Amino acid sequence: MTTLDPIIHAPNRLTICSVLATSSELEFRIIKEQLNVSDSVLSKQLKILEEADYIKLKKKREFNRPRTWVSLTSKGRKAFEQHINALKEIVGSL
Amino acid sequence: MSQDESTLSSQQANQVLNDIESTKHAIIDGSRPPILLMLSSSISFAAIVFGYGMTEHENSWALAMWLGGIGFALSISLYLYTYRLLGIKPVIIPKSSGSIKLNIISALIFSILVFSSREIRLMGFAYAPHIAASLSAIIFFIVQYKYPTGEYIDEVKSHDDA
Repeated sequence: MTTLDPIIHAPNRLTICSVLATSSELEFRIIKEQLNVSDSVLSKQLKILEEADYIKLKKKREFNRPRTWVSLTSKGRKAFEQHINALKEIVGSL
Repeated sequence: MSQDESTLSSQQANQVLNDIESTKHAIIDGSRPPILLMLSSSISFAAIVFGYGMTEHENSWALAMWLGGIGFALSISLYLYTYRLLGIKPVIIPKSSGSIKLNIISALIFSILVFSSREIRLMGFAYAPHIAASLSAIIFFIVQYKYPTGEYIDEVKSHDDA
């Protein structure tokens, strides 16, 4: 039986993983808008995911401004898919 | 929502799943590129399919195929650039199981349409390229509209029926 991932399970981190799963990379600003939290709150949550090797952060200077790109690592993508499967098992749809 | 999975009820899990799907759709729906851009790439792709289907010994349809190719490359580049400005990088190399399936199925469908447009015309059905090109444009537009970032996203649905 698949188990829920305690790192992903927290609401903000679950939303971060959900938005990251929609594309290859997302800018910090897009994730912040989606979560409706402050920079510091988002940074803290991203740090937890980065320490678990679930996400990767890249800082670049593009279009004359600094941009931080965030992406799910293959480990993070797999963990997120397993978390979804665990939720589906609880609901009984798997 | 409880953080303890042992206390997570079926209803709570269902709510979380619905929230995940809604979040994904919010990103996709809020950042979809302009319809005109999707239309231009779909029509350019149809021009490639039609040109390939009609080409015979480098006739003028070969030129149409090349022009379609250039238009397609330009619209896809603009599509990727628009997304990059928005702060989103679409998936080019599929990583999740859903997007791998989506890419394999799309590649199969488009390959069949491209090759059948010519082969069926050579067998005697003159309108095969017209039909294949129209189908290609429609399918390519739908794929871009539903999965604009290249990642497979489930439809928002309730899991209550389980």
